[in-house]
Amino acid sequence: MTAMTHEAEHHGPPSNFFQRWLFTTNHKDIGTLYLVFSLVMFFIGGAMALIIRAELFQPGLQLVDPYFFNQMTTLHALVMIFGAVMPAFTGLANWMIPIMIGAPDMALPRMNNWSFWLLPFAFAILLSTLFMPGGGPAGGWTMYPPLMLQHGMSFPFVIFSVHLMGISSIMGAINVIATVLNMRAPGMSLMKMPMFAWAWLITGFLIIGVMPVLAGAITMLLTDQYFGTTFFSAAGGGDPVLYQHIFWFFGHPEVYIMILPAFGIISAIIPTFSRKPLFGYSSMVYAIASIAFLSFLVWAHHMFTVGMLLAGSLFFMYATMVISVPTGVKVFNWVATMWRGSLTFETPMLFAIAFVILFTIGGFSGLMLSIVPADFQYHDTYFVVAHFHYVLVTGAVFSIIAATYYWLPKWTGHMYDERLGKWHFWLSVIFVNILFFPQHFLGLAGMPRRIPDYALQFAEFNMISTIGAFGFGFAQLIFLWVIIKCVRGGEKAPAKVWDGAEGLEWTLSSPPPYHSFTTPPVIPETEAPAR
Amino acid sequence: MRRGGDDDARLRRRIRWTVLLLVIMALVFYVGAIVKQMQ
Repeated sequence: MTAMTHEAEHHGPPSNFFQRWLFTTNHKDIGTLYLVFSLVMFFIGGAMALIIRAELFQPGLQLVDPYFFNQMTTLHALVMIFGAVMPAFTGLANWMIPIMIGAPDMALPRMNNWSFWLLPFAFAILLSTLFMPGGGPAGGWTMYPPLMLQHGMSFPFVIFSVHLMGISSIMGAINVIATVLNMRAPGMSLMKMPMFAWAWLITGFLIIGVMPVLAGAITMLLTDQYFGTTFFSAAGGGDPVLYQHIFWFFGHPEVYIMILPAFGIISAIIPTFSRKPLFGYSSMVYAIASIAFLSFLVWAHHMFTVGMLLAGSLFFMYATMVISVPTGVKVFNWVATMWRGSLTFETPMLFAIAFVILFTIGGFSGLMLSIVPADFQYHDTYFVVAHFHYVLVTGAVFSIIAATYYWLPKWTGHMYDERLGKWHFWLSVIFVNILFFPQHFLGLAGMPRRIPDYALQFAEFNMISTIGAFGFGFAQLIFLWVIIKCVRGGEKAPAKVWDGAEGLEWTLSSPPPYHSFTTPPVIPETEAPAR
Repeated sequence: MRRGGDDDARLRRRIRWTVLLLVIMALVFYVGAIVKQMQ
């Protein structure tokens, strides 16, 4: 065994392309696969968003058929949520968690390969529906019955592909939890773990708690359609509103699945570029845990307008508002970490600061939406679209971009082009606000979401928003170029890329050896918590 | 906590139990969602 381990330490990746990428069980390779897949999906989902925004550039029908427009809104959401954001975080977890906690690999490397390789098949099936008679799904990513059951051939394919995505996420989550709980280096207690590992541990439990609920809901949709059940059909004694309850019991924690790992990333980046330890480590852990717990109690705020008991509305309203307390703790701690720090503004830090400010704007509009009487006005308008894009684009996506800049030199062994990175940041941050901020005003004025045409009064803000969308899309091409350039070469990156960085990952060379920490590092008892 | 190379069997056992419990948890939520709807 010792001889084998010793031998493995000196092994590089297999030289055969297929052997390396198809059959890999190496956490770094699987992390890379996830990240590349997510980037491809980000551009596919982005192209769909640009079709939506191009159609909305002017009132009236311009470019696409309204039915195709609905397919774009549906697929844009499914691709971005399950294809871009979630796999990006799983990729980051695969790459970073083992080297952050001093583990040689993930706990279940073969299952890790399978979790990834389900995804390309799932999305090939999902995107192939666009070429089927009747086109792709067009009833919204929420797949509400009976609308969802009125589609043509695409329906069973969509259900199958979402099941595959769910299985993939659950396996990924099981792997992360098993790794974090069992594979930490000797001396690394839970309260000494980097915040990213903490955030992912809690996210893993959220995924295992809610992805099966989504699977249950869509299995019932399938049996309603093909096996004569009437779970969601009032004619047979079922209830379509109960679908919404089940869906949002999944859907709200899903929002946190897409933001808790981002909190972990920001908690790693801000201390590094402030050259100070993270302010309030334990309160950060408890805040993430509280947010995760509360996320199971607030689902009905997505459906106030279906009508419910006053007591129900009040409960869900106040429970939703309570989430702002632990979230506020986190924002306070990030600001307090920067306070009187020795700040420098490299690209990861710029994205992290933009995250703190813009995510908070998304949080505030979320608070507005939680107020029941106000929600009756805002529901299903562009205000909601503006709100969740501030949370997901300037929140989740900005954190993924920040993480890429932060760890890219570690992954590739080369420094990225800082000048291009800054261009990418400033263009992104300016255009993303031109894109989404006017949508608040559109929503407040009553423009409904998911429509290809609108009243003349909404024309100006829609035009501005579309210009922002194309600007933001262009800026992401710079990001792509920065990554390609950095992978191909550049200034050599040292092991500790950032002088303020702390943690086990920075003790490894850049790029790290193919097999790392085959002998576990020992963390001294006296060592302070990581970030 | 990782127990190091001298206790591989124990580490395997711990991972196996963690996975088993998590899989059971996932199945309970899946079946629970459907059973809840049947009531």
